[in-house]
Amino acid sequence: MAEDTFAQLVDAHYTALYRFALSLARREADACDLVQQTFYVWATKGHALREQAKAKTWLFTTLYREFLRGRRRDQRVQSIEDLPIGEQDVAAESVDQLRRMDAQQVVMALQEVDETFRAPLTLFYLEDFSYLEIASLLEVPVGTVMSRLSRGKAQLRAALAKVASASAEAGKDGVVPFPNLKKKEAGR
Amino acid sequence: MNNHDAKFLLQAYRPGGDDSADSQMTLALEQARRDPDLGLWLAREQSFDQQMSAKLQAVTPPSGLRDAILAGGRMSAPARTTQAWWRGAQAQWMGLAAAVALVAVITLSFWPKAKAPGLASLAQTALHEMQGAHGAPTTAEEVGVFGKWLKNPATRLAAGMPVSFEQVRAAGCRSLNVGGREVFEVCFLRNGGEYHFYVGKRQDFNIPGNGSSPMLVAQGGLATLAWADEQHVYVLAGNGDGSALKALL
Repeated sequence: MAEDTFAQLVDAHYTALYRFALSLARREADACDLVQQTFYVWATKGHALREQAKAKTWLFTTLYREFLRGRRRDQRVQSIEDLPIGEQDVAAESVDQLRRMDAQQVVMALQEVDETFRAPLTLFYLEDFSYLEIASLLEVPVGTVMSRLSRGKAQLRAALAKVASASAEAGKDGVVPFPNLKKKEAGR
Repeated sequence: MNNHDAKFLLQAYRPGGDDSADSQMTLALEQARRDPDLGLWLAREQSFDQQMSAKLQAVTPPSGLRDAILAGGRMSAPARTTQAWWRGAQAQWMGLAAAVALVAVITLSFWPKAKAPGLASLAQTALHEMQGAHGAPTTAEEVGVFGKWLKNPATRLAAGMPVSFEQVRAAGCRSLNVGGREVFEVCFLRNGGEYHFYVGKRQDFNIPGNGSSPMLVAQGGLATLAWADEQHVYVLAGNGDGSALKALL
């Protein structure tokens, strides 16, 4: 692949991939490693992909696989899947609460969601894929994606409430320390 | 379809996306239009989702990530070529024979004019050295004026070396081979951190443009900055994400 074509591919997708990686890996450095590794795999193997239109899905799938490869999946995943469907009602206060929070706090809450639900939830909110594409990307049935979104949203609302509560207790400025992003801001 | 089932489906619905093409989703949406309670629930759900999406879109990657990805892509270019040939070979043995013959002809024809390595190759070598392949290092204390210059807290490395390449060689710095080109390495301490400095002749390397903009590569807790001036190519390597390296430039 020509260097400029590779650069175009990077420019088109690295930001969304980083957001996905940050929600999975939780630490900025690990998220950067995941994104770099994904494009490295592309540079060594992905160029053989015949349908370049599928490059985006290929990149997200590869990033997710690279993430899973670095982790040991355990029985907990199954036990989480067995939990009943999450609370479906959104309180009006939840929306207002979310509106008042900043991106750092929201990412922190998202990272509190169980890993099984976090991946489809982040892909859903990135708005780059339909739920059918998310199912294909995560290699699970469509029904599983929907149930994971449902449970994930319930966990997310609980995590958002927890972060908002901690924020209120943290002080007048209402900012909860978030080391990775805080460090980045300090460097600006 | 009862409201519970409709909610289950509608939680995965985003307006304007591809999701509405699903027939079950269409039914659930129709039900939300008919049932005011379900309609109110859907409006809140979508408001929540829009807020979440907006917050997530506000997250930006760290500066330097793009450059690091591009540098990594450039480094892997030789591997890509080799792999592509093997893939073709697995499919067709005749193709393999032809490819081997072609490679032999090309290699014999162009061997003496082999393409010069770039800054990315030099940075990769530095990372490889840092990751454990490191031989016995030469320290700044062993190389006189050059070493003092590296250790001096006031030195800005981007200003260029105060000594020539020949003087660096004469000082006895550790020598490395990068794509057949000679490169020297010196380790030094500054601001409590340990750094590795590599220098080669610019004419030995393929540097597009003037090369003066440092190229950052961060990988596995290590980082390198590579740049060039009119006479030389340089790589500064150390631990961390590269911010400490930038401070020395």
